[in-house]
Amino acid sequence: MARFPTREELVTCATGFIVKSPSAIEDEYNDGAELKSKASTGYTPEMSTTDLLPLDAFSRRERGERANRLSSLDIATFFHRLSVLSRDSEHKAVDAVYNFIDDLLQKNDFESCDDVLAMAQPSNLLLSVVISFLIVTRRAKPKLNARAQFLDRSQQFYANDGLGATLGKYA
Amino acid sequence: MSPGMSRILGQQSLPASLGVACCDGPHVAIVYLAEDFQNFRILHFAWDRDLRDEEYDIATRQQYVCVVPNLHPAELVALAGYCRKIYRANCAGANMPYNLQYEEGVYFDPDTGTFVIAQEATGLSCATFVVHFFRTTGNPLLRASDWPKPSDEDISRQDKLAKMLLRSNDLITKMHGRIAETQVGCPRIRPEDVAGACLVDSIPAGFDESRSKGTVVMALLMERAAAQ
Repeated sequence: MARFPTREELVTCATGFIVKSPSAIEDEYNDGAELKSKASTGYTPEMSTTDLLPLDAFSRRERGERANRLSSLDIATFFHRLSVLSRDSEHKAVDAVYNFIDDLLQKNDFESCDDVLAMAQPSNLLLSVVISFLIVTRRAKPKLNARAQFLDRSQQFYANDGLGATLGKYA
Repeated sequence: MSPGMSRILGQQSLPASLGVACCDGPHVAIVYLAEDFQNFRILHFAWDRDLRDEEYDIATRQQYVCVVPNLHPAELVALAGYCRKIYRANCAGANMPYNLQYEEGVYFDPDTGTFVIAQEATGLSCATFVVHFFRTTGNPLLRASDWPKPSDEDISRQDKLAKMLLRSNDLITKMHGRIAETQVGCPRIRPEDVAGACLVDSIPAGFDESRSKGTVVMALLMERAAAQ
């Protein structure tokens, strides 16, 4: 298993990502209840919003500033990472979607979540990843204007494969 | 052999990412690809406030018949991820009461994966746990409203479960037992009905087809047990 760096050993990757230790991530949450429950199962989040944010967004949060709406760069970075993960394992990519969107929704950051859905291109995503986006955003759909359009785009893209109706279940 | 029956896995076989496993408890559970993306685990509602997540090892596999719902492989991958999320969100399991009847007011939050119970709802069983899991993701396995009044065998089983809850030394479980006692005689979705619904080609499955395919699953369990 890959060794997590300590807080002092934060590594800025060539891609501009910050790799943080689980304890550093935990520190960032004032209410660490959720992470504690994860820790009790030995679970280490595969990827949270913080793992995926580029340096500027991370610094903003590290300084304790109010979490702002994600920038286009933040979201593009997320999709880039998602595509890298998808090549490694679609299961990892699916978990990344659940964790990333869950983080945003738990913070009531519906605007960022909407932006993510607006930028999501079904042609660049695995079908399982598309479905994960639709499942995890189901409850919040009244607040996510871009969700219906993302579903439409996905149905159109997969129409020739006869999967349009399959995706319709997740409306 | 009907197409549905081909989704019954061999005794030592594993699903690609997610399946439903039934044993002669009778009991039913979800089998899913674990967080290490190599091994499989079994997520099941064992008893009052007792959600369990255990290794689906060779010994466990021998006790179960595993079936795969008729969903696209990509859907099963997405659902396996959701299953990992549900366990993480509910691993304490303390707020999941056991009951006897199916209730629409029980579900898993699609966003967080946490268990949600409406004020008027009373809980879930091992079978309805699996039903609610699939329903929450937009893939209802069965039409619960289709289930008829229980048979004498069902009532006897319900009575036994309510008494087991009532006999508990735990006061909260005892209280859930008092609620369950009032539910004896409600329609009963059996564990094998849930496995049977997975073998129906078009979900949500009705009662007749779920029960008839569930009977096949139980027969296979008996056959495997006799062969051991």
